Amino acid sequence: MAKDHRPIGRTASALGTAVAVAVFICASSAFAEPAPSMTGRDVQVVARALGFLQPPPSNDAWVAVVFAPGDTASRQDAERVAALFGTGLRAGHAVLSARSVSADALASAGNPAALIAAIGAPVGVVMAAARLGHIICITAALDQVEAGHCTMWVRSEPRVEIVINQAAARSCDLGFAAAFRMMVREL
Amino acid sequence: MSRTRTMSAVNRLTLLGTACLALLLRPGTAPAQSIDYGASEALFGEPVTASATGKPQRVSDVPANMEIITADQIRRSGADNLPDILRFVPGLDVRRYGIAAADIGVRGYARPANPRLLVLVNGQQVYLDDYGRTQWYALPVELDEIRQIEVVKGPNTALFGFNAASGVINIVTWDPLRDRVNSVTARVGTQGYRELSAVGTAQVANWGGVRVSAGGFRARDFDPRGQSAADRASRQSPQRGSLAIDGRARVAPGVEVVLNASVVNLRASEQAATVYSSTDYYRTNAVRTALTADTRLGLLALNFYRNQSRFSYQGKSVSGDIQDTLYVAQASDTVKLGTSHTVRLGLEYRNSSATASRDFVGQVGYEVVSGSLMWDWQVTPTVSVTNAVRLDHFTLNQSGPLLAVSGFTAADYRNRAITEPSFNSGVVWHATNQDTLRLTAARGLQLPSLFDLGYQRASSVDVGSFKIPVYFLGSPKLRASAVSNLELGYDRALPSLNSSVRVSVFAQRTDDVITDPAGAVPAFDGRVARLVAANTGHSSAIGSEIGIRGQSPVGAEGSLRWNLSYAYISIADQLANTTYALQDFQHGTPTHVVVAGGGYSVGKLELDVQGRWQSRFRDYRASAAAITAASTVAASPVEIANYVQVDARAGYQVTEHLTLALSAQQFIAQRLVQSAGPPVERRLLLSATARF
Repeated sequence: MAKDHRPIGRTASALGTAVAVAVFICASSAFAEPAPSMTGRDVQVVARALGFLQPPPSNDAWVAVVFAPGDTASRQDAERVAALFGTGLRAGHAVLSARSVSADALASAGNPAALIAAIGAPVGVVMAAARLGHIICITAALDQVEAGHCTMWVRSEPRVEIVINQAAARSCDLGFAAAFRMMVREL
Repeated sequence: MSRTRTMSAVNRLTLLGTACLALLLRPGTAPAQSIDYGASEALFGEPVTASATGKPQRVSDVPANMEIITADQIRRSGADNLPDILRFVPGLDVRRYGIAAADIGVRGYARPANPRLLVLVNGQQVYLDDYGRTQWYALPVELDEIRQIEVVKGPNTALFGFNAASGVINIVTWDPLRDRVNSVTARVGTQGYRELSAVGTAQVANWGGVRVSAGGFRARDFDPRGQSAADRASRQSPQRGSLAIDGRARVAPGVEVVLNASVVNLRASEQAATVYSSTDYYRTNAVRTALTADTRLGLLALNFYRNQSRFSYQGKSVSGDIQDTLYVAQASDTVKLGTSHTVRLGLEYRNSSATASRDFVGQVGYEVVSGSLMWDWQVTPTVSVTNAVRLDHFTLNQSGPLLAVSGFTAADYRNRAITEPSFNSGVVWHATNQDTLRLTAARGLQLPSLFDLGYQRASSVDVGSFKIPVYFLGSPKLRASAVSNLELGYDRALPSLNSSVRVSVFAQRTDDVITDPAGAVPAFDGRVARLVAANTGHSSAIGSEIGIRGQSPVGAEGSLRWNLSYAYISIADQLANTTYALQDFQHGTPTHVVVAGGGYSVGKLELDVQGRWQSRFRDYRASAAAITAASTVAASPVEIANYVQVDARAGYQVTEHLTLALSAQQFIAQRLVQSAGPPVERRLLLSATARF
């Protein structure tokens, strides 16, 4: 059996270097503006996809971008995503606005037409609220939709992709136009 | 007792039917639509279509070789007609026979009155049943009301039925329920060209819309130099008038009703199917009603229409008329089963009948009953498989006394039935985010036309002081021609160039090629000559297309766009008992075609140019003097040398609503021989378009 004859000191040194590099990268990224979980094109895709809901959002509809309470990064991500809606994005015949909402304030937030889970948001809480309000849960994390923890995942680059978890949609009592269902991927 | 039981059963059935209908038509809960082209295109960033499988799809997902020409491309082409727009699609061949006469072939097999191409407007057949051909200038559509033109290359009979043998061109107009299109275009140009075209839309709240379009032109046709004196004398200047109305209403959540009607009058000098030159008159009208419903059982569609055409032709050597009426009823349901399977069931009934004062004796017609099934399976996130099958059952009918010399009896017509299957299969694999592979196989059908089946015309030729009777005869014994196609396609996105490359390789074989009476070899029995339509053999083709298309990134100060493609096709005919022209696909198809184009937009200015070079091919022309004793019917081959056509447009947006454009079609040469018809002249067109 081959043995590793590298001295422990050299291994520790290598590990130390790696940790130092990792810390440096993390520290650097802490000072840099983190990319939001969704891009401007992503939220346009979200808004347009919502136009295929049955029923589609009404004129005065708004979207809650949900963040984790006490999580600064999550809150900042929600604020950035909400800001991408600008003065409003068209969803069918409606124009959707957005605002960030803390997960612990969802119950008193009013009646959003959709929930977007920001980075770090407690998606279980978001999905529970979506079920309660019969509205859609949207995320930029595909694994959350694959696991049934959220309803819809979108990506605009390099090609528009939309994935919908049908079981999650049913649990929220949601329906989509038949033609739309045929053009997206369902799980 | 029995009666009571019967009534009870009827009541139960009625109740059950009502319940089923209520369930079927019960929508999600709110407004929906069969396909909202505009919203879907905006969502996915690419055109969507239902012309490949009947299922709504993104164009990058379709299991077919499809090109989509958008409204922007149509506008920037500067063309005033559809053939000159389609000329620059790789794999399409256009033969122009006059200013209002052109024929289009998909992947070769172009010929006058091409019967292998299915042309539709919003899914409604606009080709003429008499020869199974399309008169492009008789289509009831104005260019400004077209959202997109969908070109499917290769057979697609399993979805559309007969005639979709070499391809399908579906013209999709703006939806009056969702798209508000109002425009007026005035166009003047060389050849005395004067055109006026208008499109107007009225919408009521969010539930109804009507679009009305009207247009027409007059022009002096190309100088018919090279034609015989007799044929020159028979040519008249073209003119067209068209009126169409398209109304759609959302009568219940998820349920839409369509009602449209159109009428077109056209006079055009053109090359007939028999390669004789004549001035032809068309008066067509159509009415259609349709219902689409987004139900819990899928997308339900019912479609009924009637097309009527009155066609007459007057040449020095031939004249006649044909009146044709077509009724079509279609029903389909497209439903997604589970998360990965989409199924489409279709039923269709067609009834076509034609009369003619000289070309048919009595009435000739047919009925077709069809059933189709499409199954699309999303096997993995990146792989989908589509299979579609269709069975057509055709029965022929005829009334009136047949020519005794024909040898056919009423029973031959009465008992003639054709039952044929067709299929389309395809695998689409999005191998990476940039790479898509597409493998398709298909068997399509070309039904014999009414002309092929029922033509019965007596003529004669003078041989010295003798007159020999000649009979042109359709045959009720014709079989449908079958087109088999195998194709491999590859699309590659090039994000760094904001471009995409498309490559395809295909092999195709046409069995039981139909030779119509004018192309048949004359059979003499000493006193008379007969030319009888027949199935004459097979023809094979191999080919490939490669092209790149791109544009500068959105947001760039000036917008640049470019396209370059090369198409190759080689055809080998194995045909017997045919004389000329209509079946000379081998020589009648240009082997090499290169299309190159580009455009630039900056501010209010748009500049576009498209060029097409094609290698030589052979066309045929029959003239008044061509009927000789030696061959009874003769057409002279006309060798068309390789040529380049270049079209260009410069458009300037004068105000928010007004655009002026100068376009030049075929501006390289004053006159260019492109077919056996008159040389195509340089055209300059000045147009003013008001959009509001």
